[in-house]
Amino acid sequence: MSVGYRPVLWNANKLWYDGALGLFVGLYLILFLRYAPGLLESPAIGGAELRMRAFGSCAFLMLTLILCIGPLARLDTRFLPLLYNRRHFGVMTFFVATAHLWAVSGWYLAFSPLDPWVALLVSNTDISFLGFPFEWLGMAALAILFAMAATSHDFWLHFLSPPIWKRLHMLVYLCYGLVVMHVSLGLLQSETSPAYPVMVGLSLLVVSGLHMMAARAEAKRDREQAAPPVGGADGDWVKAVRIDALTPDHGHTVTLPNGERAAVFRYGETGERISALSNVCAHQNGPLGEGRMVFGCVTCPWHGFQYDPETGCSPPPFTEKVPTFRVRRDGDFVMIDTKALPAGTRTPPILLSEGGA
Amino acid sequence: MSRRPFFVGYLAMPRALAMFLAVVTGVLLGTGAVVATVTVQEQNDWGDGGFQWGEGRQTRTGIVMADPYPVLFLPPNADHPFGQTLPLSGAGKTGVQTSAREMQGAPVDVSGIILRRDDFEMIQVSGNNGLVAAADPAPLAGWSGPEIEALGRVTLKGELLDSKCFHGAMRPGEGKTHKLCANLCLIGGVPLTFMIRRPDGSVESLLMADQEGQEVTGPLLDHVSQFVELTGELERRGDLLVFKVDPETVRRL
Repeated sequence: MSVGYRPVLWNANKLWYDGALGLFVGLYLILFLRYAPGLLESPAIGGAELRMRAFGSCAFLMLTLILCIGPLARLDTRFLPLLYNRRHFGVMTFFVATAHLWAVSGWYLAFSPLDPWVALLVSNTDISFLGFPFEWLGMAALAILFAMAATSHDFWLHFLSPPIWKRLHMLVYLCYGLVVMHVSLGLLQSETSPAYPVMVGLSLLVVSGLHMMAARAEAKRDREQAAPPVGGADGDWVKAVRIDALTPDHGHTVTLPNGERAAVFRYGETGERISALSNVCAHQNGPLGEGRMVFGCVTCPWHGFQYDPETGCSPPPFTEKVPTFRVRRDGDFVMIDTKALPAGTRTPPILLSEGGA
Repeated sequence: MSRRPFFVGYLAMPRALAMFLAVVTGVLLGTGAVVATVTVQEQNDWGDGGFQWGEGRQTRTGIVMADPYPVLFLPPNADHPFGQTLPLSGAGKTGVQTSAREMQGAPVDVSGIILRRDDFEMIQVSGNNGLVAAADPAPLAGWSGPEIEALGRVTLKGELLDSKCFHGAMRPGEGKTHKLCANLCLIGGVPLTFMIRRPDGSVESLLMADQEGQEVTGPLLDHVSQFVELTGELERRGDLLVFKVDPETVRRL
C-alpha cells in the first residue's frame, strides 16, 4: 500500500520475485541461444532467426504462465505470492516481446528501401487464411502488452478507476489469442516437427483447463455459500453463516441473492466481534473474503490492502474505502442486510459477548 | 477452514510458503529449460547456404542479362560444361535492374560477395562499380551468352521465393515465416525464383518470367512462400531454367 506514487515500492518479496523472473528469462535465452543444440550461429538456422525465435518463444511461454497464475491462485491460495507481483511479470513479458520485434525488425524488415514499419504493414497483402500476415497479429498483441505495461502502475489504476483499469487489463486474453494465432499462422506453417503444435496445444489446454477448473470451483463455492433471504421489515436480510463456522481472524465469503458477495469477519481479541463488508477490494477487486485480519484490519490476499472491518476504510493515511453491510445476530446465525451501505460507512459489529447487536 | 500461512507482500514470507514457492520456482525454471531445448532442437535444418564473406570481394566476367531479372552468364568451362548462371542482386533487399539494363547483353565484370547454397551461386553486387564493362572481354570473344532452348509447356509444383534468401541470405529463406522478408526482397528487385523440391530432397531453382519474358513479381507477390502450382513454357539457357508463366494459372496447393 502507498499514499504516494513511487515508481516501484520495493520490498524483499518483490526483489525475490523479480530475481526469479530474471533468472527464468536469462536461463531460457542462454539455453536457447548458446548451450542448447542450436548454437548462436547454428548450422541449421541463421543466428538472427535464432534470436527472433528465442525472444518470441520466451514471451509466449511467459504469457502462458501469467495466465495460469490467476486460476492457480483461485484453486490454491499458496500460489497467491505469484499473483502479488504479476504486474512485473507482465512488464517483463512486454520487454521480451519487444526484443522479439527488435530482432525481426533488425533482420527481416531491415536492408530494404522501405521503412521497416511501413514494410511491416504493406509488404504482405495476402489476407487469405494460409497467407495471412501473421506479423500483424503479433503487432496487435504487442500493442496490448504495451498498453498493459504502460498502465501497470497504481497511478493509472486510480486515474482510470479500478473497473476501467481491470477491463483494459482483461485484454490480456485477447493478447494471448492473438499470439496463439500469430504462432499458428507463422511458425506452425513453416516448421514440420510435431513438437510445435503439441506445445501450443498444451499451452491452450493448460490455460483454458485451469480457468475452467477455477470457474467450476468458484461456482461450487457460490452455491455452498449462498445465503437464503429471510426478508424483514427494516431491510432485505439473509441468513448468511453459522457463527461457529467462522474462524477468528479468517474471512468468510457469502454469496447474496443479488449475486454480490460479502466478506464476513470474526475478529477481536477473543473473536467476539463480527462485521461484513464488500468482498471486492478497492485496489484491484481482490477477494477480501479470502483475506485475514492482520494488525486489526481486514487484509486483501492479493496485495495486502487493508480495511477497518467496521467502517470499510483503510487506516490513515490511506484513503481506500469499500462498502459495508449491516449485520445482526439471529440465534446461531449471522444475518446480513443485502443492501450495501456506501463505501466507508461505519456500521456496528455483532458483539457476541452481548448476545448480538 | 484453511490454516495455511497467509501471505502479505510487504511482510516477511512465512517459512512454509517460502519452501512451497522454492519448489514452484524450480518447476518453472525446469519448464523453461525443457521448452527452450525442445523448441531449438526441433527446428528444421534450413541448409548451410549463406554469404561467403570469407572469400572476400569476388569478380566474375560474363554476359549480363537484365530481363526478366538480372543474371550473369559465365561461359562454359571444365567444371560447368553448360556455363554457369549467377542471379544478381544489390546490397540488402535491392535489385540491380538499372545497371543491368545499361549493360544488357554486354561483357561485364561483376564484383561483390558470393552467396552459395550447395551448387547454386549468386552475387550481391558491391557498390557503384560492381557492374561495369569487362576490363578484358577477350575470354568472351565470340560468345554472347547461352542459346535459348524451348523445353515445352509444363505444370510444376513448388514455392515462389526471392533468389537471395534461397541462396542463404536468410535461413530459413523459405516458408511462411519468411514470407514478409521475401516480399520485401522481391519488391526491392531481387530476382524471383521457383523452388522445386525433388523426392530425394534436392532442389531446383527456376528463374521466373511472364509469358513475354519480362519480370512477373507483382502478379505473383501474394503467392510467395506458398506451395503452388504454375503452368507455363520452360526454357533452358545454359544451366539456367527460365519458367515463363501466365500468372493466372497459379493455384495454391
